[in-house]
Amino acid sequence: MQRRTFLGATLAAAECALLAGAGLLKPQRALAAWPAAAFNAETLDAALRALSGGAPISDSDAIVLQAPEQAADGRTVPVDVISKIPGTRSIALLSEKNPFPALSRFELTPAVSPSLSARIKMGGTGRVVALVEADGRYYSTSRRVEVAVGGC
Amino acid sequence: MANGNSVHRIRVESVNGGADVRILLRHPMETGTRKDSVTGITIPRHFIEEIHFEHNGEEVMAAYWSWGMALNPFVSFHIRRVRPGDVVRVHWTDNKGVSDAVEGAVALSSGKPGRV
Repeated sequence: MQRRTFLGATLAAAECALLAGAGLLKPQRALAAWPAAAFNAETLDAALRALSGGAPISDSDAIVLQAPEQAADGRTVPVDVISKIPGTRSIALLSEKNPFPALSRFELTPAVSPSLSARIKMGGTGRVVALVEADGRYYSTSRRVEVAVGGC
Repeated sequence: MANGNSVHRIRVESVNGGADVRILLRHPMETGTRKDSVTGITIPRHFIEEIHFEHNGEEVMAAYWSWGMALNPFVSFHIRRVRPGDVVRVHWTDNKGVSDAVEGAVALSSGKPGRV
């Protein structure tokens, strides 16, 4: 079991690296603002820049980000985000060590609480980042998750 | 469309006049980097791109996803104000253009908290 897990991880990592450059996405329908530039960005910084449109991003302790300190399996890591920043309009999730760090962007209305839980893939040990947009400004916080077996 | 035999799950639980909603969807969320263990052929990228969350037909949240969200995606969130009988519907489209949906109703608040 141990050996199998290890081999699987090695293989997964190699595949991640191999195909990291292949941008295979098609443009979306007019309605969708699927953030292609962000999702195809290959570094955390580039992904954050694409999501914020280049606007400055402030560290904020008014975002509560919960994730396990250690994740046995990077294929599914639970993440909870609560934004205490008034006027929160969107919450994006990123994982530093994924071949493509941007994972999702949720757009909220005032009808929902500015909080959500989801499960992400993590390519390896690194930071999970929550990026919050509120009143046109961007805020982020991060947590380090130690990943035993990468899940990309 | 959502149907009674859906492989997808939704739980809508009233909490203090609002509702906690949990969904668990069946989707491979392929990154496009995995290889078939038998044939060695790369499995094409296949993931939910777009997902919409509605309360009585009104969109209350939407999300754009990459292939980096986990297999069989789970999401939970909270709608601030609901009444018994209100309908929560979640629908999504993947990068192959396939759409699906699941819906649930706000029950009376007697239910035990449960997991999806």
